[in-house]
This record gives sequence, C-alpha cells and structure tokens, in this order.
Amino acid sequence: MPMAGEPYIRFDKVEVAYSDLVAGLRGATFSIDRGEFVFFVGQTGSGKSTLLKVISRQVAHTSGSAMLAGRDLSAVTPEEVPHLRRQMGIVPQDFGLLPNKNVWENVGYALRATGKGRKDVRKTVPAILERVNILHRADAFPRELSQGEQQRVAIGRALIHNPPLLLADELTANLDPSHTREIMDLLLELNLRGTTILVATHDMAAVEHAQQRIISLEFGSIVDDRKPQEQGADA
Amino acid sequence: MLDRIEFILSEAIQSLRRNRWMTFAAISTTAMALYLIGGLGYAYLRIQTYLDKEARDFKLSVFLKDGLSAEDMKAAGAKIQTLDGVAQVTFTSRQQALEKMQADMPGIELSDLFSAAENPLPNSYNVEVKDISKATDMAAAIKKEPFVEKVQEASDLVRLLEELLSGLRLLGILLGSIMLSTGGILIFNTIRLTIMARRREMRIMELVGATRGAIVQPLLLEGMIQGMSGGLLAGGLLWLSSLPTQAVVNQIGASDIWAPIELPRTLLLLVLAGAAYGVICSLLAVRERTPKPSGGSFA
Repeated sequence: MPMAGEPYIRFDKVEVAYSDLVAGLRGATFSIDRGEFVFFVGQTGSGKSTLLKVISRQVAHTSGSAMLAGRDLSAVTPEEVPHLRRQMGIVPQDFGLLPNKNVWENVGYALRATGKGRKDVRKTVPAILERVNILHRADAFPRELSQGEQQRVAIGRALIHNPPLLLADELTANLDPSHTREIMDLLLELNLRGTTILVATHDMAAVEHAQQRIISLEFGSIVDDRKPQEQGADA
Repeated sequence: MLDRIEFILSEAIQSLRRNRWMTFAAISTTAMALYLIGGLGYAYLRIQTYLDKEARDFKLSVFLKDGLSAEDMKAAGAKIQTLDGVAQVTFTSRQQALEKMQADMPGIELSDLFSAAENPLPNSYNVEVKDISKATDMAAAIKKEPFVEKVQEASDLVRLLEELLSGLRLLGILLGSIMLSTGGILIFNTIRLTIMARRREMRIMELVGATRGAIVQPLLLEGMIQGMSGGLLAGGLLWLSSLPTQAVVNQIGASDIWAPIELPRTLLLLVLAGAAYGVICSLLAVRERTPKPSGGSFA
C-alpha cells in the first residue's frame, strides 16, 4: 500500500529499450494521484503505449523506477502478473471481443477465465453491462454492434474486477466523433466514481472533450505535462 | 471447483470440435500407434512367458562316451558346471536311464529286449540352463569336450520362438516408434493449431488476469482427450483382431502359447498410456507456443 501522500503511480527516469537501437521510453518521469484522469498523447512511436504496457507489466522497463500503489513494478514476478492485472482494467485498441460470443458471453468469459463460477457470472454481468449502458444489447454478437457499442463492451469487460485503475490504448481511434464523445462521457463518469483512468491517444478531439490532464510524449520522452486548469489558462 | 472443471472441459471440447479433422487425424494415428505397440507387445509378452516356462523345464542332455572311469565322469560333471549359464548339473547313470525309460514305457518289458549288462543307454548329465537363449552356444561349447558323445539341444520350436521374439522386438521398436512419432506430431500440431485459433481468447485471458494454469489447462485436457480416445480405439481394435488370432492359434494347437486378451485390463492400460502420451505432446506444444503472462501484446 502507498504511504499517505505518496502518488498512486510514480515513474522516475524510466527507460525501456526494445533493442540497442529502438527505445520505447527515455527517462520518463511523472506521478499520478489516485482518482486522476490522464491522457498520454503523442505521435505513433512516441512511447505512450509502452508506458501503459510498463504499468500493466506487459513490458519490463530496463532502468529507472516504476511504482504502482507503492509496489515496485520491476519486482513483480511472472507468477504475480495475473494478480496485478486483476487490480486494473485493460481496454485494447482493437476491442478484443470474441466474435463467436455475444455481449453477455464476452464479459462472462472473462469472469470464468479468472475463476468465477456461473452464479457469480449471472450476478455480475448484468451489473457491469448496466454500468456501461449496453445491457439492452446483451444478446447481440460483436458484428451486430456499432463501434461505440463494441467499445462499451470492451470497457465493461475491463471492469469485471471493479478495478481502481483503467488503462485504455487508442480508445477512440476507430470511432466517429459522436461515439468518441459517448465513450469519453462514460470514462468521465467512471472517473467521477473514483477510478483512475489513463488513456493513450492521438485523438485530440477526445482529449479536448474530456478536459483532463495531458502528458505529451515525443520519441519516448515526456515533453509536456498540463493539468486541466493550466490548459484553460493557455486558451 | 465443479464450475472450474466445467469451464476447462467446455473450452477443450469446443476446441476439439473446431479442429475436427485434425483431431480425427491425431486420434486415429495415436490409435494405430498404440494398436501396433499394444499388439506386438502382447505377442512378445505371451511368447516370452512361454519361453520362460520352457526354460524352467528345459534341460540339455549331455551323453558321455563309453569307457570313461568314475573319476573321468566326475571330472566331466565338474567341467560342465563351470560353463557360463549353467544352473545345475545332475548325473544320470546308464542304469538310472534304463529304469526311467522303463517307467516311461510301462507297456514294453525292456528286459525282454536286452539284459542290464547289454544296456545300450549311455551315462549322461542333465544340464539346467539359466537362460534358454544361450542353450545353443552352451551345447556347442560342451560338444567340444573330449568326454562328450552327443548333446541333445533345444527343440526346433524353442529355436523358432527365439527367432520370432527377436524379430518382434525389432518390429515393435521400428513400427511403434514411427507410429508414435507420427501420432505425437499430429497431437502436437493440433494443439498448436488450437493455440493459433484461440490466440484471441488467450490474449483476453491474459489481459483480464487469468493465470497461466487457467490458460494452459484446457489445452492439456484437449491433448489428454485425444490420447485417451486413441487408446480406447486401439484397445477395441486389439480385442477385435485377437478373436481371429485366437481361432488360428487353437487350430494349430498352440493354445499354451497364446491366451485371449483381457479386454478391460487392455483398455485401461491403453487409455492410460494414451492419456499420458497426449498430455506430454500437449505440454511440448504449449511450452513452445504460449506466451508468458508478462509477454502479452497490448494492441
């Protein structure tokens, strides 16, 4: 557990080297408090996805210090990774929905895969679908859903463990403006309920709509970090 | 717990149905491999059992030359006893041999044919061997001794069975290993195909925090089901083909060599062997193909 006053996520000079020539992150330093909503913005290859991968332990950082809830991420063993991932929700860019399962089954499958019984699934799935406002399409298959609805299901699935942290990579990349706003409103609502939300994106319309903290990356380095009030002052 | 088993089982069955043809190929090849190994192994065991019994009863008869003194005969016995593979040596005098012959042929009065003084039977040693397969070599060694008139060797049947046994051993190793490798490669490939087909599910499982065990268990179960089905099929085939074999064996009067296959025991053995084999092949495929929990892809 983090000590009082200690940030929820803290990166200190974090480096990720994929090879001698390719770097994912170069000395990234920042901290995020519990309950914050943060956008990581930058061009493709700027390191924003890598940053989320370090937090979810899909990538191990090569130097520096990365802490999550007081825990050093480099000390997390492969056996502990599943437990770590149950402390967070991950929304992949391509939604990652199973085409041969309907909305209910897609969320239920994730619960079953993490050891929940049928009874738990019957109880939990409707509540989750209700929370992301997709319960009315519970019997629909992914191909029958709009992009925005598919994204809602993916977000719902990421919430199965009721995580305090939600990581989303290019959440609105494939969405039209109205669906983008819809998804952003959903995330803002989750954030209001206390979930810390980190979104990697290059969709500036989504960022402007949400009016939250923005951390900008370029070639793996953090070049800007603006709180919402600072953005307002600039404008 | 039941929920967990049901989930793993349904995942495995779903996958088996999805790769129907590959599953069929893997099961049938494994069945053929186990059928061959089981069938040849059974034949080998039966012949080996028969030969062991023959070996226990088998004695080489070493007939001594006429005119040897008592000391020479005693020395001959001691010499035979020192040979490699000899279990026990027993002396039978001419008189004892005659008495035994008379006992074996109660209908004939041997004293009418010749008197004790004219006894044509030689003094002999009965040699019990430790390993019947060495009997021929042993007989050849004894024949070279100057005191030996004649050595009665193993029967033609025993020699034939010996040759058959070494042939079966070779055939079993050759065919069995070819079929086992083919079956193994097919199970291995089926699991690899499953892993490919279930990449999306496995990725989702990793992202939501499923343990490696939860990801891998359905795959191992799938391999086990394939192996067990192969074993079951092989057991059935073996039993079916043992029926005409038994008829032929009875016809040629070799029923003391062959015995009917015990179906339940054979099925159990082959199913267990198939299960172990399927799990091993799946483990190899899983080890090679599944990513570690920390190595999943985000996008």
